[in-house]
Amino acid sequence: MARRKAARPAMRIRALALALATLAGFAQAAPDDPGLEAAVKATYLYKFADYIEWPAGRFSSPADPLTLCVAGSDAITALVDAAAAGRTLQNGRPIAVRHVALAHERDCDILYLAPRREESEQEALREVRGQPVLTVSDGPVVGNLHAVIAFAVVDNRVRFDIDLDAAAQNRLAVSSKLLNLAVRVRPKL
Amino acid sequence: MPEADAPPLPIVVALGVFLLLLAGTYMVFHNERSYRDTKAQQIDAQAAILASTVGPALEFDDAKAAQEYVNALASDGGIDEAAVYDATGDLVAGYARSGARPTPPDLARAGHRITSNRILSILPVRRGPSVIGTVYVRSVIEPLSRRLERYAAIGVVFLMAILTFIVLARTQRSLHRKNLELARANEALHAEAGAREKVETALRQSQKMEAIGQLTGGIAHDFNNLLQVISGNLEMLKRRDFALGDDARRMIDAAARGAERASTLTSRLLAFARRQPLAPRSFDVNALVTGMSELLRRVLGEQILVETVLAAGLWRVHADANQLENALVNLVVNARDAMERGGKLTIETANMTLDGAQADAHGMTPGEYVMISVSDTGTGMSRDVQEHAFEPFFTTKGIGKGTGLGLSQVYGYVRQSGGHARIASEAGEGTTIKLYLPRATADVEPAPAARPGAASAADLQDRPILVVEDDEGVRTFVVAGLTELGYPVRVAHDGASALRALDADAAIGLLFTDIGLPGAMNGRELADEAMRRLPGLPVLFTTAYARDTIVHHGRLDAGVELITKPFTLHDLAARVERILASEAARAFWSRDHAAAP
Repeated sequence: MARRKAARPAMRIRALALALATLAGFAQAAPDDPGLEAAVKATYLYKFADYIEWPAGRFSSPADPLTLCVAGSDAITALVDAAAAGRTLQNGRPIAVRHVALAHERDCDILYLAPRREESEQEALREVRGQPVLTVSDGPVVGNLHAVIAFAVVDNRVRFDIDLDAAAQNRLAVSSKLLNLAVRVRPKL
Repeated sequence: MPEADAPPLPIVVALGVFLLLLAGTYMVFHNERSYRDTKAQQIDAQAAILASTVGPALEFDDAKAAQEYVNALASDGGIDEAAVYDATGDLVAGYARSGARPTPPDLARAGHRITSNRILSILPVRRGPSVIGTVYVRSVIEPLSRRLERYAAIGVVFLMAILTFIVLARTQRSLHRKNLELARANEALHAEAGAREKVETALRQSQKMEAIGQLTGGIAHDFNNLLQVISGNLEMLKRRDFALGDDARRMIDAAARGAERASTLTSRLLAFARRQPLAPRSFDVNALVTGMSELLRRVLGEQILVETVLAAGLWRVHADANQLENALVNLVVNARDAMERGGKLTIETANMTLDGAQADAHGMTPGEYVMISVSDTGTGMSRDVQEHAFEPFFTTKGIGKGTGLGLSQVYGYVRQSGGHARIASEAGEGTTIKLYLPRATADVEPAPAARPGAASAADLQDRPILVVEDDEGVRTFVVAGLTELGYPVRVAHDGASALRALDADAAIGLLFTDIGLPGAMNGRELADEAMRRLPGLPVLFTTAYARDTIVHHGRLDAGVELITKPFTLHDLAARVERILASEAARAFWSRDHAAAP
């Protein structure tokens, strides 16, 4: 009895809060504009690093920069470079943005596969498989191999999925904080 | 006890109540403050949690996730507003119980703020060194009424404590009052017991004195009759011209002297027994003391200083002046004997008015008295000696030095006179004896005694004298003596026979009767009856002691003639002669003559 009574107002409040949130609306990252969508994705890339744990010994010192490789057009690389310019990780680690060609992705900590090309994606993923590289695909991956993080657009907003199996294969640990924000999480097999 | 006299509420209790109130108030304030502090800490903690959890949501523009965090906070009933803002201050997620938008104050000012009924906390959300947003949490403070409800419990406890305090104080006060009453009652009881003991002691003392008095009086009475016979016959023996040798005369004289001393002794015994005939009159004690000063100096000798402190305006007393002189001489002699190495004797007089309480304390009747005190600086008396000092034959003097009758005589005299005697003494500190004699009610000098008239006793000697006496020895002596003096004598042994003799001989000119007679009629009644039959008949009473028949309260009625036993023939002759020569007697005689054909 008592429990049910107590639960009712709580449920009502939550429903109200949800309604409010919907009303408020967040048009900030509206992906109707492809240019904007790319810019949002570019800012997210280096932010992911804060919630990923690389295997011990990956970085020799705190000053050892995190290498963010962009496999895509120059324009996208420029966007990412601009987003990360002057930024560091939360622990102060510097960020180095590098443009890489597919199949030449060496010494990357984060590998952003953009734009989408199914065949090359699978190839690149295969290439870095088992290496401590956070792979980020521009959209849901079609194929056997998955990127650790895959951008998705939900309700006109840039969101992402996380593949824990892929993370485990690359010996990466993903923070639960990031998992909380993921649209879908694919568990470790 | 009236309420006004009750001791005020003890200060301790008032202080206690005050301190309790103070402590209570302090506790409420302290509770209130710590409640607010705790609440503020809680809100700060909530804000910090929100800030740390909402960070990723802000970074990845996940308003939905941010809203979920905010909603999680909102499930806490105390929080009425919560919100997350981005770095530019735009609302990302928010909750307001009112349903409107959250209304944070200045977002730039981090930290918590407490208003009368709200606590709010604003914290920046950081990503490394940069601020990526702000969280805002606001909580209502539990309404004052609710908090007061919580404090009510404490209040009730304090109230109970205060009530207990007051009840205790009242109980204590009433106890205190009861204690006082009890103490007072106890005191009164003690005082009463003390007073009662005193009265009982006084009663016992007076009963003892009374018993001793009756005993001595009885003995003295019989002794006086016997002495009368002895001394009277010795006198007769000398008067009659027997052929007695010088030796025989000396022996008779010695016997007579012995009888005389015995007579003095018995008279003093009677004085103690309050059965001596007194001739009270109104007189001035100061004048009496002054008149005695020469005598007293002689008694005291040169080693003793005499001081008299005589009160001015001293009342006159109604008493026997001669006996007071005797009493003073007795006291002065005692004082002298107590001051063998010299000292000072003070005689003081004063008026004293005794009220009921004072009189009770001394076994006296209330009224006005003249006090005569005789103080010495001598050896003093122990308490034990004081208790017995007034008893006859009690003496501290060596054998042969005192009779032990001096003070008892003084005591008997003063008591008989309606007064009292008291001793105040400490061993080694001297003695003060105070005599209280009643004030004379009317300062009337008694009429001067009738002077013997010119008529010769010889003219009257042919009139017979009726002698009424039950004691044969005394009767024989009196009859023989009167006969020898030349008076015709008729004799009776009791009242009835006396009246018969009176009827038989109308020429009887004087009734001489003992007061104590056997039979239905005592001497006084006989005299009354005789005077009824022969108005104006002169009467001479005799007694071995004077009892109430003619001596009311130990004092002779005015105009009553009395000769106490033992008397000498000479005394008797003088009294009879004086009576027969008096105006009254002559009036009786002349009337009788006129009546006689």
